[in-house]
Amino acid sequence: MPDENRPERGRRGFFAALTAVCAAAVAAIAGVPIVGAIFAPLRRRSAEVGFVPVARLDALPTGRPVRVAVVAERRDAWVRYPASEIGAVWLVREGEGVLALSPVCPHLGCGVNAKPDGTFRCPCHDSTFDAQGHVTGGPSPRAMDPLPVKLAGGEVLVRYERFVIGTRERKQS
Amino acid sequence: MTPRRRLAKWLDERAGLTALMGVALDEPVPGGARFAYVFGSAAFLLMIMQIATGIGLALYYSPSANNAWSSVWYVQTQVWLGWLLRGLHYYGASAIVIVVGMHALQVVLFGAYKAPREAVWLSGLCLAALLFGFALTGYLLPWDQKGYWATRVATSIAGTAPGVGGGLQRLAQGGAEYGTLTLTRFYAMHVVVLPLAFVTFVGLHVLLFRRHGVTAPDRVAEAHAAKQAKVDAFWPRQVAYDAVFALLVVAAIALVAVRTHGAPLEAPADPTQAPLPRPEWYFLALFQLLKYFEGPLEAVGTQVVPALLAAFLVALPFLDRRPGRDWRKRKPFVALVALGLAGYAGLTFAAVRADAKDPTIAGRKRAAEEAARRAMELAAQGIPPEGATLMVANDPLVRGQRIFDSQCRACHAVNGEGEKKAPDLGGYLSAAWIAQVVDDPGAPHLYGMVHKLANKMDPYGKKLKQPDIEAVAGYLAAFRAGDEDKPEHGAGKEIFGEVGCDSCHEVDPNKPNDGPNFHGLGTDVWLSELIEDPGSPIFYGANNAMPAFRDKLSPADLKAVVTYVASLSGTPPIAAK
Repeated sequence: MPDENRPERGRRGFFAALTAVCAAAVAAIAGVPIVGAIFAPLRRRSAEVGFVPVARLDALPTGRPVRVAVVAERRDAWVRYPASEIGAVWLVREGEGVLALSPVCPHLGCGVNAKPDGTFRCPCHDSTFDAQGHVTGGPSPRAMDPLPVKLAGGEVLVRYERFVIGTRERKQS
Repeated sequence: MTPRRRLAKWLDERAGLTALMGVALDEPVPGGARFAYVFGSAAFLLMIMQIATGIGLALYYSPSANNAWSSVWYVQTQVWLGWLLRGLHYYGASAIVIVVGMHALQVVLFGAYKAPREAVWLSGLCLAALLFGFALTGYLLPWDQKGYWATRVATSIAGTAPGVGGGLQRLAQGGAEYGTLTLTRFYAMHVVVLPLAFVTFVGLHVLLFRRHGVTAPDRVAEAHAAKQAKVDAFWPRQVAYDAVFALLVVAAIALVAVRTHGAPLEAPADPTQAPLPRPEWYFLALFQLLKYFEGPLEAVGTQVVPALLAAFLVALPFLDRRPGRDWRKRKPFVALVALGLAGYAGLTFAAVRADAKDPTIAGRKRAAEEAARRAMELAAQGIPPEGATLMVANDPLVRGQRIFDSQCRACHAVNGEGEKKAPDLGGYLSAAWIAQVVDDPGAPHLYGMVHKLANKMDPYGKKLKQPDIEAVAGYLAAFRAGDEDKPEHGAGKEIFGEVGCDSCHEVDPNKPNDGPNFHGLGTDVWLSELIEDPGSPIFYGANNAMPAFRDKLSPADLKAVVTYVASLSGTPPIAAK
């Protein structure tokens, strides 16, 4: 190519810069919503369930944990499922108060069972817990997770929550 | 050496990047860079953008009849900037059609389809056909009324093709009926098959184009052959022109997307409710053309004319064998193309004008917008597992409106839409509507058309001043909420007694009189009883002209109609003439 046809350095630089600016603008306009859509799940917190009635206080015996189902509406993306079982809860009556424990083992997520003496044991890897859920043996990194409880008009209400498994510190997921 | 140069050298030694970039960027542009050449690159960029925005949408979209609309609703309203993503993809589709059209036009003007570039032209036509495939399959995916019915029309037209039509239609629909299998099939086409084919043909198109180079105007080509023409490299000047144009297009798309807050979404597809289907704007010309070929001639519009147009475009490089690319030397062919374009534009405008002048179209559009608004409202409360279509159909307001349309609109218009044999129910029992009745009950849009009732009540507009009429109307409108005895309606209540309204209209329950009893006026119970038996002595008695619906509507249907009629008080009544 004859040298006279090559634009001067200044004009080449101008066009290169113009291209870069336009390309960046196009990338931004299209890129922001695309990247936003991809990373949207990181911004969203899981939907909160409110307090749900699970049992009557006088139906709970002392000294023995009782496992009750939590029935509530569930949302999955755009679908609202009508009231159905979303999880279960161990209720331990202590006098006039109630302790609610999540049956999800903090070790690896198996379902924790109750023993006749009121203590708990996980069948998967033999984690054992006392009547209040504190670890007495086995690989569980922390105690069974307590759930918020409210008593109203003789009814026991629990707010079902999920926690991160496998960690020493309790964190809501 | 700077880190950047070192990296470039490392890559170059291993992948030969400099040579590769050179091939791409050192493409010679005889006669220098031109704005006329930007359209191909812009189309390419838009393809990339459609793929990228499409991927973003695919992270959320669910191709089943139950879930498709809901997933699109979810992206539109629940995902951060999801509406913008939809808007870019939707208006990007229109943009790519326009840009490809401009690209084709530039190619025709510059004679760039002529030998030895016939294969480039043909691969370009294949790309255009694939583009229409994208448009057709994509339009159905939201599974809203608009997309569903427009595509049903399109596949029905395909079904009219001689011989293969029926099989073609079944193949497209995934069966004998439209349903989830249609959607999964269209989705697979739109997201896998068509993109693979498109990318392949783009590769072919670019390779073939690069073999022959850009088509410059004749005088430039001659000078170039004599090595006396200016030649630019693709980079940086042509690339810069391309980049500027691309930015203009993308900015325009984004602007429209922002102004319309994303892309349209009508009410969920309902096979039982057929609106007046309209295709997307770039198909309107074909839609208009079909209006001129009715009955046995229909095949001319659906098969013959499109086939002839396609055949002409395919044959163009072989028909136009004259040497020289100057458009002045190719006037007949350029004229034919210009004629085709003018025809396309003319038909499109004719379609738009015909719809604009048709009042039923305007009414249907309003109904569609209202249905869409109601669907969005319901969706925000959570869509049930049975899907959005059933969510809408089971909504008492929607059910009530459908029953009203089939049972009541034969006499009662609402805001002017419907027959005018009985009072217009727009704003029914709102204070404004009641005020109109008090003012002039015999008005043609009120009781004037019911001959038994037309002169039964005096027009109080002649006896009362406007503020008094409004006070009485406000008092009566308050019965719905049970607020009629509140102090703010004291004045209206007084006038009701003083002027003598109560000599015909009782407010104690179950007392008959010459006019309808106003106890619980406007409540669901009152409306129910009125619709069940308007001839009862506590309503219109011997002067009644309305059929009793007690045995014509099931209790559930009655409840739905009452819900709908009660909701009308929230809308403004049509103005008295």
